[in-house]
Amino acid sequence: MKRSMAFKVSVTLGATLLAVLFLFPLYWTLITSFKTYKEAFASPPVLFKLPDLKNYISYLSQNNILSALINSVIITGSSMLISMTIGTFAAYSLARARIRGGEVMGLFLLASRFIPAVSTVIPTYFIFRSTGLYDTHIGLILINSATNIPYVVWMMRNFFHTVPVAIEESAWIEGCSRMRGFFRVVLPMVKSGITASCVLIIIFSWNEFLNAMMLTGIKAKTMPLTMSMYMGEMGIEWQMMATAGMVIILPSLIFSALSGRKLGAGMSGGAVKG
Amino acid sequence: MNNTKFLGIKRDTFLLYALVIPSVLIVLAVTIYPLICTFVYSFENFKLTDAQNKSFAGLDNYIKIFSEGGSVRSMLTTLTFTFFGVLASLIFGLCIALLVNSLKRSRPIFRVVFSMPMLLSSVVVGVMWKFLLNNELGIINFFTSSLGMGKPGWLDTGAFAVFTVILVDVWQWTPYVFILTLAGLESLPLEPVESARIDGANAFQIFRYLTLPGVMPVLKVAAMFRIIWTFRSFDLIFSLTKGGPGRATETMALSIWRTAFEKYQIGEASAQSVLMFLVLMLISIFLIRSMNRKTSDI
Repeated sequence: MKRSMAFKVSVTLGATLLAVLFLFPLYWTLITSFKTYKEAFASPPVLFKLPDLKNYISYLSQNNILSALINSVIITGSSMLISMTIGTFAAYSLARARIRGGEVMGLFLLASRFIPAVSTVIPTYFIFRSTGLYDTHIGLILINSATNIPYVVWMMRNFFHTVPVAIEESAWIEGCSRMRGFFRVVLPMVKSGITASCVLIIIFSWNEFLNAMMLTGIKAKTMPLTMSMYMGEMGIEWQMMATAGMVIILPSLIFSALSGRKLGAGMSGGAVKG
Repeated sequence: MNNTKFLGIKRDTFLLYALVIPSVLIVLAVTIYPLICTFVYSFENFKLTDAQNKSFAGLDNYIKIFSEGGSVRSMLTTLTFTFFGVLASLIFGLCIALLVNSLKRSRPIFRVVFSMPMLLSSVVVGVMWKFLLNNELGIINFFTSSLGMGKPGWLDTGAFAVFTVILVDVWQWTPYVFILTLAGLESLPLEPVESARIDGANAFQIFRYLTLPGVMPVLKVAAMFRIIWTFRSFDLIFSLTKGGPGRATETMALSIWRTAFEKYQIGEASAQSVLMFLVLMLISIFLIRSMNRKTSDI
């Protein structure tokens, strides 16, 4: 059945209106980050502003922000590498689960995702204090890797399930060892899964806040923590707050624009195909 | 494949164990061990200001958290926040997915647009909305007052603040429901809808008897994850209200944080943690059971 032109136009119009409303908070933050102090507080508000990067330059040239940025990159990158490597191996082993206890270990890893961070952060604080991990990169890398490993296992296992065992077996017949077959045959077939998992893990670690807040002091501070200076009410320079916000959400914005659909599917643990 | 024996088990089996054990060990050390500590702390007299002098306290902490009523209240706040937040995002997510699904050429653009807020740092989202909702100079109150609706104090009074927190949470997480539901809608076969149309079914009937049952499994998955995440969410409320005004938006996660790091009562906070963990586990088990599928698939 052909739908009428009027129907099409009104649906598109409705979706566009909704989209404008939906994205307005982001638009407003972006615009504010281009403003001067005066414009940010102007009444009536300045509704449009051409891009101007001087707030970004002055924000990023602060020493503590720069070091937070470096910390975030180090912590996010390392915990991504660690959790992807360790988690992918485990996912493969569990996807081929023919070992005794495989089912139980799988369930254990899945169940651990449901443990809230607030339930573990208090003892972790004391453990870190007494072991010298407090306010270090390694400490946060450890925490982020451990929280992300179950996600990797859970996502990658679903991708490994899509690779038929027969393909691997034919590689073995030709003399490949299991590990060689894994690297040469299986991994290339789940490339898109690896990318999706990497992106998701990067965003999770990048955004992580509670552990970073409780387990760092000055040295290992990450980017989301720099936002806490704007949480009060008094004396906040809105244009700088908007700039800080934009810098922190920029990676997530780019990634979700590129692969929102896949990521959503990844976050449902393969229950929904992307 | 080489199947010689090593340590009495087949070499291949040994390898498969070697691949999975590191994950299990790390999670045991970094997640499970602290969880056990929390459990132990919850039976102790333990103050952050006097960490050296811990003593066994029996059920004192549990009696305290239940008798003071604060925990019961924060539990109710958490449940309210979770219930309305999840429900609203499910409804909006489904509606937007239906709308976008009826578009053809512009669908990819709208898919990106409506998925934007999902992966943003919740701390940034909280601070950003706080500035949008500022009473005097916030842009939203500029619009409401130009429309003659005055300048509502979005975060000033208890009930209103709870509403606002839910609103922002729904803004951030409707995209998640939307993405999943749209994927579900796209995978539905077209023939039943076509033949129903030919048989004279109206749009509502098609939705009620074909589309909705078709996306129900996806909506259930979305609901499950939303419930678990919302129940324990911390970042957004922390940055938006810090639990205020008063303790109106103090969920269990916020309450635990405040008890431990502002009131320095580690024992009491741990008891609250145990309580929250148990409730969350009960909810998770109930949800996974009701999903009506093998848990190992989730």
